[in-house]
Amino acid sequence: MTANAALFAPLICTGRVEETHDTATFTFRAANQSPFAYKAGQFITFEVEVADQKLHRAYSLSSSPCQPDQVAITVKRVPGGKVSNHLLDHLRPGHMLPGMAPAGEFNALDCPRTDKVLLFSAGSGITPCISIARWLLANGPGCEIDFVYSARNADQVIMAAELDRLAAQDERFRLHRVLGQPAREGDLQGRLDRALFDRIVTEVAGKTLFTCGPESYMAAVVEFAHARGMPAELIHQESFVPASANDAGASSGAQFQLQAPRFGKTVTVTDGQTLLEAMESAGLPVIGACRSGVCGSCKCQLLAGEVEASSTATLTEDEIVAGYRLACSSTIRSDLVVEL
Amino acid sequence: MFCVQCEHTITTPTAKGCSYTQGMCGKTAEVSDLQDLLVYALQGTSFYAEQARTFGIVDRAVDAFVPQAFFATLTNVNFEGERITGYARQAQQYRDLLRERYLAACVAAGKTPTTPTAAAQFELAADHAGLLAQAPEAAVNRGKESVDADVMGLRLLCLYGLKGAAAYMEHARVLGQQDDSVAAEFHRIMAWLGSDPAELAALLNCAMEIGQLNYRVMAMLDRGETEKFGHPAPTQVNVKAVPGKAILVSGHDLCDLKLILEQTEGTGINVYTNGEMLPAHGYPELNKFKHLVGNYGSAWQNQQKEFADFPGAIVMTSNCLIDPNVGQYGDRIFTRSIVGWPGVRHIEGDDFSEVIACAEQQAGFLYEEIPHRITVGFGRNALMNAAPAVIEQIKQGNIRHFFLVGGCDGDKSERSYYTDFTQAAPDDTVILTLACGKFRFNKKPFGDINGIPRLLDIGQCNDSYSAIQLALALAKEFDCDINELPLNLVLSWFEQKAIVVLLTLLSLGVKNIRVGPSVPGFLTDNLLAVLNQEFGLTTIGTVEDDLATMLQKSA
Repeated sequence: MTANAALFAPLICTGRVEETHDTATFTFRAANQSPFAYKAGQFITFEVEVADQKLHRAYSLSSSPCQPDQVAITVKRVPGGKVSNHLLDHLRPGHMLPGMAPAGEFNALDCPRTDKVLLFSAGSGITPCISIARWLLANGPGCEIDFVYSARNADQVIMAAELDRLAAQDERFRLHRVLGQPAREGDLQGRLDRALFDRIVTEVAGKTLFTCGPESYMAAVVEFAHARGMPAELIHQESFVPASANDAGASSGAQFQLQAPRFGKTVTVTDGQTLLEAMESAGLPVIGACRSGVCGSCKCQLLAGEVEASSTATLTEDEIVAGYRLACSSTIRSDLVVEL
Repeated sequence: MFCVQCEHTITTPTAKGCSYTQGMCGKTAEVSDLQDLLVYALQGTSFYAEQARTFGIVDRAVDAFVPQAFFATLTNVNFEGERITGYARQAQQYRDLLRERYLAACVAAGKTPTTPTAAAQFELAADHAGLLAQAPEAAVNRGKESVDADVMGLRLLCLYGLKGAAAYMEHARVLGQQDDSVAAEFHRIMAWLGSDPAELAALLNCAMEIGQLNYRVMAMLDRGETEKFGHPAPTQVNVKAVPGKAILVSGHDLCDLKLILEQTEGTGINVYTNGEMLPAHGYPELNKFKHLVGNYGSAWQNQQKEFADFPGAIVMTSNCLIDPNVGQYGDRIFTRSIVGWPGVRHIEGDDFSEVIACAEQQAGFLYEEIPHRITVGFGRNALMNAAPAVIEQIKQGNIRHFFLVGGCDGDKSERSYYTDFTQAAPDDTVILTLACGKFRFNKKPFGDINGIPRLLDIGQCNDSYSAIQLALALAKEFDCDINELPLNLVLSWFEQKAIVVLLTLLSLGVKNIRVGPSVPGFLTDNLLAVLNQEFGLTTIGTVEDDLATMLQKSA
């Protein structure tokens, strides 16, 4: 069950920095020394073998495209997180990981944007936001950035020194730390609520908002921005939370048959399962990178049967008509015949 | 051709066995026919080896040669017609020498020589066309028109079982282990099978004798390996690549691995084990080499992809070899001993410089992958050392049941049973494993029971001897019969080594073994019924049903 090898290039880990007790930043160079071409905010999908299983996960790049020789990802330990925890436990400088080319629509070039940017992030959602910030500071002379970062306490602030450095060096970069337990003067206390949002964002006119973090966090940020009258086209959100966790479709407990004729497989699946989970359990070589309907890596074609689709983000109209779906964002509701 | 010795032989609703222009293994009809002639010639040699012994005439060279050449006909070993013919002619030269000495001894003693079997009288044709014309006479199913199907099935069970034992005898001999009485028993059975026996009870008895013979051979092999390389100890093995030039050693021959390690020491070339060579890491005298860096790949049926991806030289020391041209690595794979493939370089003697030069010319691994370490080396001694702790955990109720899940791997999708079985086994059960069937699950996390790993890798297929010793020790400790232990055997078979291990287990009285993924093509429904009745032998069912049945025993 090897994914298409041509999609992956060997990336060599060149460094590892412990950011917090449960988070580390890893830097990579391409094994063939070629520079990386990407847009600030994009991610790379890595292939990681965990317990004899090849898994694919997307990690946002925290580095800036201005320094194309290396890329960096920041990984946080999560309960039950197979890949992230494996990388934190085992990945060291010198190790090779296969990675796909950078991709993703959540980025500073493709998303409609103004010069004044609000970057709202929490936890490991900081990664695409700091990449966008670094790139804008280098390439947008007229830019103004409000960088709002939420964490439980100061010890959990990822890239704390880098944030302080940017704030100290560049007056266009304003840092707002929102901490459950403030640690120093200027830290804002509590969870990000409407009052706190309004306190930080005094004016919305002419501003663009990017947000990345847990689903509930982003939903709140987007709601506050809407309430303040920000136009929808200037509000952008990223998400790497598994679609199944978001949408956990209610299950009737009914059993269905999932067939993949080209792979000679027929397995029993349960109503409410995501198609991606079912295909992975059946040992089908599907790549589920972002697992949230963003990256498009798990595109597959339904030859028969229907699913409940929560995202068709990367699919064209023609593809949808032809039965293509994103496996991660498809909840099984009937017998299915599927092709990769 | 007619060949039905392995698990992926052609099976149709009406017929079983490969009988067209090529076997499922890739063996041509011509090579298959020559192998039949070789086996028939060897049965003739064994006839005189047996007779000569009545006068105390023992030729160690013959005792070594016959099992070795027989091994060449095992599945996925030798696909070179010329070498098979060479072995057959050598067999008849040895037969003629023994016959001469035997007849002379008869004359001297005033005895009438025993009437030779047809196999002992058989003369190979002088040329290739003549040999092929003779093949039907030597076919393994010769006389099938007039012989009862059950008789034929038992003949083949015995022949293939003895072939497996022969392979282990050759492995033992390489380690300096030969035994005159074992050789005598081997020749007796080989010669008898050459007489085309037709009595069911005698054949069934012979199958048990082969099992018993193999038990002694496995003990010799165990002794040879542990005396030469030390007792295996639990050892962590990296199953991921490290940067550098590389040689991959596959098959079973630990002596070849040691020679390669000695000759590559200090060259910067890293050595990896493949398949059944994995247990080598547990032996102190092999593990001491720092450049034995890890294990690469999985079971034999994946070699056409895995070897193709291996950026170095490859040495195949014994079975299983499959067509190297599919993956286009025929120019960097080497065969040893009885192994052969047309056009592939064969290394005679102890000099591996050609292999080393080949490895130097290849790119080698360029990068280090994230290491993944698995534990091997639960051989006889390690198991015995762990036995008191294991017994304590059983008594405390922390270990409920043992499963021995092992045997050969293959490419049928039904073999996912074995992966599923180990994954479904409850947390308070321990899984012993051996042979290449383990590659379906040995990289998965199993955890431990108060420090005792839930997955214990005992070693190669022949290390089933260690598993038997553990079972005997547990039976003694709990003062019960081996069949009363909370232990079930779930075996996977592919070739003839697995057949003989099964015969050994049956001959030791081990009952209720489950075998899969399918029934050997040479066994009739009647014979299966007999094996079920006598030994409780069954084929695998569904994981859920099988587990439920087995665990009832320890409920």
